[in-house]
Amino acid sequence: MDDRSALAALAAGDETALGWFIERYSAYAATIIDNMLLPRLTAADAEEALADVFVSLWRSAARIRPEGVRAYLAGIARNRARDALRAHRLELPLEEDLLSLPSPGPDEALTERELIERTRSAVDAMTEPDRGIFLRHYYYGQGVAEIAAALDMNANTVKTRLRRGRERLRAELTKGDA
Amino acid sequence: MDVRISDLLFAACPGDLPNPSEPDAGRLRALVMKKIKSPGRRARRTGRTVLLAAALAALLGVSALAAVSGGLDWLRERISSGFVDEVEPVERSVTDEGIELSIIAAQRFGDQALYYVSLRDTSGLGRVQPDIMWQPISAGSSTISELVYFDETGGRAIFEVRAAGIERADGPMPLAMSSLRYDMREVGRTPAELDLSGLPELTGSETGALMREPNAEPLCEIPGSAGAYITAAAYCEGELVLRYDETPGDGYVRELRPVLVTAEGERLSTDRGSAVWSDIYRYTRRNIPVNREELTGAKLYFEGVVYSELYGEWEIQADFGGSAQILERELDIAFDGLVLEDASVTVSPMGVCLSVSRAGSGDIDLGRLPVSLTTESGELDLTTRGSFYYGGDCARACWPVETPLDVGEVSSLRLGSTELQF
Repeated sequence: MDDRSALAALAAGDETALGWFIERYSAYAATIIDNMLLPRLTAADAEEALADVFVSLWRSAARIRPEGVRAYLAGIARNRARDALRAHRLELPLEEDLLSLPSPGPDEALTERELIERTRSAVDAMTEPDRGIFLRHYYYGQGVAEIAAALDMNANTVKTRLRRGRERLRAELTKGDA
Repeated sequence: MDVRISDLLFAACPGDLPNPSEPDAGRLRALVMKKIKSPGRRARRTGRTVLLAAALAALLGVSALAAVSGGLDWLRERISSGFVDEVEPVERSVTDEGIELSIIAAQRFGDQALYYVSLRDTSGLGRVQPDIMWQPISAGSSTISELVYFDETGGRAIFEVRAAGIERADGPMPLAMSSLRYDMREVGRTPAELDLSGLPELTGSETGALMREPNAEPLCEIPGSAGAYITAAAYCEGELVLRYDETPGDGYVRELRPVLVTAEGERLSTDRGSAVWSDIYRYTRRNIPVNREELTGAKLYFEGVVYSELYGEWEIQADFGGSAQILERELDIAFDGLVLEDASVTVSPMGVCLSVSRAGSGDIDLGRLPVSLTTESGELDLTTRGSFYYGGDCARACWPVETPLDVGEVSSLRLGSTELQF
């Protein structure tokens, strides 16, 4: 079975296909959710969110492109984790998540694809541990203190490295601007 | 132009996965199937206990759902909440495992319901105390409960239960409970008898293999935990790595957090790690960053709480009235640069509830939606009082009021930049 045939079976209501997707992708989706929710919420909250991801997959199977299953699950996992945080009136503790870029001219705006490619390029160009810190914070929503504890690092050092990452990203996204 | 780094990064999705999780696929599949096949988020099967109790009661010549001894009048004499005047008597009860669940009174307000419920231990074991915890299960998508009175004499805990997001039009309404946590005790005053300075220093892969060992033997018991054991411990790459095991279904719920206290008195702890819960295994791994030399003379505590947990089947199907004291509207709401189409709004003595489709509304955050009511007494800002539920297809929010609202006095409702006149 592959994603394409499993999606078709799932769209037809085949529970075996649902089990196949769970076996194949639950660790991936759980990792996204657990990194965002734990330890702010309980393991039971995380499990509930994870189950909702596959309920969404079950309900949306007919509308999902086979080549986009992994991306779909990642997006849904992130949204369900956010939902769980909101339900508990919590926010991801992100440092300066909003990045202000110079307004482009009418023909200069980056397309979404270009934004993503440049972001990927900026992250790939980061060296460790900056890259790992940047991903932990902005990808998984881990707080500064949490990262500092995990990496046995001073919180101010983590903040400095995050700032460096933001500057690198900004430079990449504004590359070519006058 | 403003962009969110977190959104960009997520779209770029480099695929790096720190702290990989290992969910139990079988357990997850069962949970997903339960959600798919249940009409309501928490819907459960018909109460077998009630049917068995009815059969037994027929033999004994008594009613399985006996009238509650402390009824609505008794309750009104004991609690000051004005909402108790908004409900009507129900007086139905069911008993399982020696615990009696009773609905004293209830009322429905459109897609919401308000219950006054009591829990009582009929076995004489005294398990119902003010610190008990339970999760009511109703026909609503979200159900919350709050202890409003504890009757020392009768050993009864009285809860106000609010259910929202009820979709069924009419008929008996279920209220159920599947487990009860009781006898909460704090733990963490006694250190575990683990030789920290003698722990092996292992590589990451060796530690991973040790932590996944299925038949790990106990190294020592976690003091006060009623049967949780440290089953593996090692020092690995700057961290004390611990695994502790519990026995699934042993009747205890443990919320434990390892705390390492160094010889200098510094407290080191973390929630980082992973947990594996299945029908066969239940173990937790925790990683505490610490210098190896600091383990000498350090003590390891497990702080937290342990509950006893009782499983059973308590379910009451009760018919009770719906209040005419509600205003219901469907409208489009302008908020946060979006138009939430066909939002359903209910204003009742309990407050304001809103239900919107998530299709097209993206990552709507109802927590930031300004909400205020205008009544004959003035304006009532409810914005900061909300509780929220985000389901797969819809988002719901309720903004409760502190004292019952006289719906007849409400002249307008503002949601975001949309005003609704009544």
